Order: sequence, then structure tokens, then C-alpha cells
Amino acid sequence: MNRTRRLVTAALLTSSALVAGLAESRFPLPFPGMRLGIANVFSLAALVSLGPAEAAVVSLGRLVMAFSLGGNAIAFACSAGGLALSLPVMTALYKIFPKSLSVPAISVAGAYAFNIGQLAAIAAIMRTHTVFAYLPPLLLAAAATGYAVGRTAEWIADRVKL
Amino acid sequence: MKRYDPALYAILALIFALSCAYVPLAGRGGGEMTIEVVRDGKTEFRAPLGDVPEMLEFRGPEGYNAISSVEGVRMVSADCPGGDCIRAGTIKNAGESIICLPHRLTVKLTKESASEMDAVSY
Repeated sequence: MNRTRRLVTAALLTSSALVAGLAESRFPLPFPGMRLGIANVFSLAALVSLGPAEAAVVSLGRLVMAFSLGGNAIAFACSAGGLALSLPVMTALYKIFPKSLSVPAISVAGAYAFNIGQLAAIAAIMRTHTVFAYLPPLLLAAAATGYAVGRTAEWIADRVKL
Repeated sequence: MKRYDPALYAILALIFALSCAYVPLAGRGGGEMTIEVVRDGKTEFRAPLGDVPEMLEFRGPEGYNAISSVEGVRMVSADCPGGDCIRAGTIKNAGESIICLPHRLTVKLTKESASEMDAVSY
């Protein structure tokens, strides 16, 4: 894949992630902090079809743009805390075990890491660790949403021939 | 399903099991069930659950919260835009908490007695 094509693909995935994230925020799930994580479909697609650097660009680019388009500071801090853990986890798993881990499995691990990082950010803001009591229902949901997100990312990377 | 997938899922299941241990561990203590309201790291209110009125109201620099303590503790009203604390539902066990992030308010149930608290604080 040449340089221009990589650049355009990464830009396309970032804008898709941004729109998906904004659309998703209109439909909150019943438990606070629970998300479908559709935006992560595009970060994962970037990871498997382009590489770790592009995956980071898609995730962080989406984070900054979502904030500049009217997101609030708390949501930004939570997402930043989540990404600070999930990006390294997914990148490391993908780089170290490229042949022996499936994309859905890496996605579930990333979803777990995201939720833990998000609660760590909240714990830092609130100056109390009691927020970790929220973790079990969040992780339970993350197993399902992370798997679905991983399958979708795999499908997109495969079918769309990024 | 690839070769190492089961191993990764096993690790994640372990992390989930550990997360389930948080509430019982945080809820340890020999005292009676106590409600504690913390704002920005400082305890603003603390009383045995049996002694508090059915409705508690808190006003802070960021906003207003109302807490009901009938059959468990839940946030009934808050003037934040999100309403996450209201959707958090009812808590009944020591170690559980409700977080109002925009107002930096935490409502938690604890069985730590005052003497155990002192031992930690001083």
C-alpha cells in the first residue's frame, strides 16, 4: 500500500470513528459508563490493516475531534484514561501474537483495558477508589460488545480491502 | 478462535473474578451500615443508615443532589446534564457506591466503624 493510500485510509477510518462515536452517544446504555464502543471498530480495522501507528492516530484523532465538536471535559478525561491503557494492550497483543490471537479476542482485551483505564481516570478525578465497584457490570458488557466490535472490524478490514 | 484465544479469555475471566471481589473487600468492617458522602475527597456527611432521614440533600459549588435512603440508597435527583448517578440505581451492600462525576460527589455504604476510620485517618 503506498503512502497516499495509507494516509487516505487512515483519514477515512478516523472520520468514520468520529461519526460512529457521535451517533452512539445519542443512545446511552442503561448503566453509567457502558458503551457499545462502535468507534473502536475503526481503530481495530486500522490496527489490522495499517498498523499500530495508524490505530493510535485513528483513536487519538477521534478523541480530540469529538471533544472539539462539543464533548465535555469529563468525557474527554475518561476516554483518554481508557485509551491510555487499551491502545498499548491491543497493540502489544497484536504485535507479539499476530498469528495466534484472533481480532475479537484482542478487541475484548482492549475493551477490558479501556474500562479499567476509564475507572482509573475517574478514581483520580474523584480522589476515591470506590468507583471500582462499577467494574463487574462494565466488564460483563465489555465481553459482549468487545467481541462484536472485533468481529465487525475483522469483517470490514477483510471485505473493504483496506 | 485461534490458538492463544482460550488463554487470553481465561486471563480476562480472572480479571472479571478479581473485579467481583472488590465490593466484598471494600465493604469489610465490624461497624453498622453507614452512609458516607464524599465531595472532592473530603467527607461531607457520615451517619448510620438507620439514623438518616429518608431524603438527604446536598448542595455544592457544582450543583445539587438528592439521595433517598428508603430500602437501599439511590440518587433520586441531580441537576447535572447526564443523570448517570440516577441511572446507577440502588445500592444496598457495604463497599458499593454511587458516583456523581460532574459534582465530584461520591455516596458510599460502609461498615467501617468510627474507630476503624480514626485508625486510618490519624
